Amino acid sequence: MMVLLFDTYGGITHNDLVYNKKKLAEPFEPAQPIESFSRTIKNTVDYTDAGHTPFGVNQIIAQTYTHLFNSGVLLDACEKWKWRKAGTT
Amino acid sequence: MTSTLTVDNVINGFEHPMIAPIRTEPNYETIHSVQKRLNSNAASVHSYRGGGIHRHLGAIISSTRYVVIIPVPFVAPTNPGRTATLPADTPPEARAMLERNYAANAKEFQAYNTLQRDLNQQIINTFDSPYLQGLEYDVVAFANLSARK
Repeated sequence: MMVLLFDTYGGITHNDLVYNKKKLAEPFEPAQPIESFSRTIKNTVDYTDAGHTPFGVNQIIAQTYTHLFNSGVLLDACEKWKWRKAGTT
Repeated sequence: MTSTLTVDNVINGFEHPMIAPIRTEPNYETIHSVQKRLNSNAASVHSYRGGGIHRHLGAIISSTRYVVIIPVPFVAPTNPGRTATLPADTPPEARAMLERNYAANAKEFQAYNTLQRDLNQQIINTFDSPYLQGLEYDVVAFANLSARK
């Protein structure tokens, strides 16, 4: 039922999806709480899913990692992530 | 809070047993807010499927969204039929095992359907009926729709 509700009343257009995908590409601002960044990612992923154009897992991980690495504030965590055991998260 | 799924009592174990009704035409934001509550509710009911950590979350979100959270697909239980299939020459030990497996599968399937029914009921109670009429089938109403689709 939720898919039908999103399709009928969600008002998700192609332009909205394009705009939403750009939001995933917005850099992480270290002055903002990490929760805000996390929420933006989750909402972006939810939106594309509701619009039947979901992001791939690797795409989400790569984009998030890039934002965090480029922010320069979580370099140790990024380094650990980079060298984590294959197949773990 | 998590609950063990029983046929009679699913909704009481939900994290959000009541969802505030939406009395205006639904839009993305309102539907999304309801979706998040339904996600919490499904995830508050025990399941070993889809890795088990997120319980029944996979029953309400898409498979693509689920594997973003955990890389183990959630596969819904299938109907095991009315009775266990027991070939005539099945030894007693194997027969007992097949019957136990059948009972477990039947219980899980029935409980999963109860969860879907209760989630559907929450959706019906949340949105005003004029906005749901277009989704309803003449004979079976919403009975052939899962909470997801």
